[in-house]
Amino acid sequence: MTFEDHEAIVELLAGHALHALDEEEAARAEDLLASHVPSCPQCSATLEGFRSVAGDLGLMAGSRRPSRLLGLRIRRMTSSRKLAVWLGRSVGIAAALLVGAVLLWNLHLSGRVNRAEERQARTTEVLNTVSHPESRIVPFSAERSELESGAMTAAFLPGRHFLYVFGSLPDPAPGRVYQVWLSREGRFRTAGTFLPEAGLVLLRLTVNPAIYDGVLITEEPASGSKEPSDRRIVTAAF
Amino acid sequence: MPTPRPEDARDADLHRRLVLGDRQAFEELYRRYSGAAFGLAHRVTGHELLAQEVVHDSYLALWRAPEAFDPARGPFRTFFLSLVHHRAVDTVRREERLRRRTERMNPGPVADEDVAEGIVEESWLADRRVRVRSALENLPAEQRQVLDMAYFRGRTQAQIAAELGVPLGTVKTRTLTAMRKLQRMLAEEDHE
Repeated sequence: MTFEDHEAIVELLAGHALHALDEEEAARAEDLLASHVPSCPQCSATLEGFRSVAGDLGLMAGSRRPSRLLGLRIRRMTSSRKLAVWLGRSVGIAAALLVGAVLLWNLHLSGRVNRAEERQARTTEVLNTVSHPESRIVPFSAERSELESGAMTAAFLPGRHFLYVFGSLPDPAPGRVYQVWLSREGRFRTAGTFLPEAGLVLLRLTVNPAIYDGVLITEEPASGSKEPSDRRIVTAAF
Repeated sequence: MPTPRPEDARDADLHRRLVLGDRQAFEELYRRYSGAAFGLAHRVTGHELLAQEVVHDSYLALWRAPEAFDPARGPFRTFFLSLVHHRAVDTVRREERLRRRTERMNPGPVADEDVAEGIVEESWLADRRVRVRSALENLPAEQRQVLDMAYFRGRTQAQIAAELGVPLGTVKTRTLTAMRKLQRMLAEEDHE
């Protein structure tokens, strides 16, 4: 990647940190956040720096006393988070059994190697997402007869820039990988490739789910593909 | 990595407790940041009730998913104010879309009949504000302008370019230059 390429990326990241990109550029930024940034220490550090500046800019608005009523509303809600409540939902239980039992985090997107110590935190993250009252839980439909529908699930929280994909898949054919695609108005963009671990999958995609209309998983050559092949495995529509 | 400032270390400790469901930790984070959060939400939305909703939703998100903050990626303060800012800008844009659709005027700020809560900003937060203001004052006016329009008025860079009558590339360049300068100046302050 050239210096000019990096400058263009950093320019986009500055607008992203300020939440000042239009929809199309925001989608490009999301692409970069999922693909390039995690594997580029320079861009990663730049983004963190910009985010920090953006947070500090908020101080310039000055402090303003919130109403007592707002404080009461906010404090009241802290009495409502009980384990029994958020594990009470059936999807939450299913997910807890699945990911809690194996502590699996087999994300190989963009060649990023995840550290074992991240797994526990990420598992908690998925559990919190699927059990959140506002979460969207979308089961995948199987595109192959040998797979069961519902074996894979996508979950996200509106307003959050993470999409979780989890469930079970058999190993792909030798020399091949699974590839995740995000769809938008009939067009696909890759979110990376992965292999199940002991038949289980748990992925976190750093994207804004609101700007996509679905997810597709295909089987592709080990190097991944630029466009989804016709070897479709599962699909989910938001 | 520089040693965390005492107030940032305090926030990190509160966050650790919050992840475990500690209500007292949440209460202290509310006390520490609700004034700044409400000030920011009010500045961006220009509306008392919308600002309240933004702050409410931001704290709700923090309470329900505290692990969204990763202490390795910076201070809690900047994470949380960014969260508030994003929600405030989203609210402004949603309201603008709604207003355009219904072709009605913005009713404007609504007076809050409720009394304000007695939260007093801590001095370290005020100190930080002084540092940020000082850094901003060192920026050329045209760079400050694009930051102000983007950050506090919720404009996209394309909208800013149209409003100022300058190419989009100019807005992007001014934004990037300003962000780099601010990052450098604030980092220098942090290391002093």
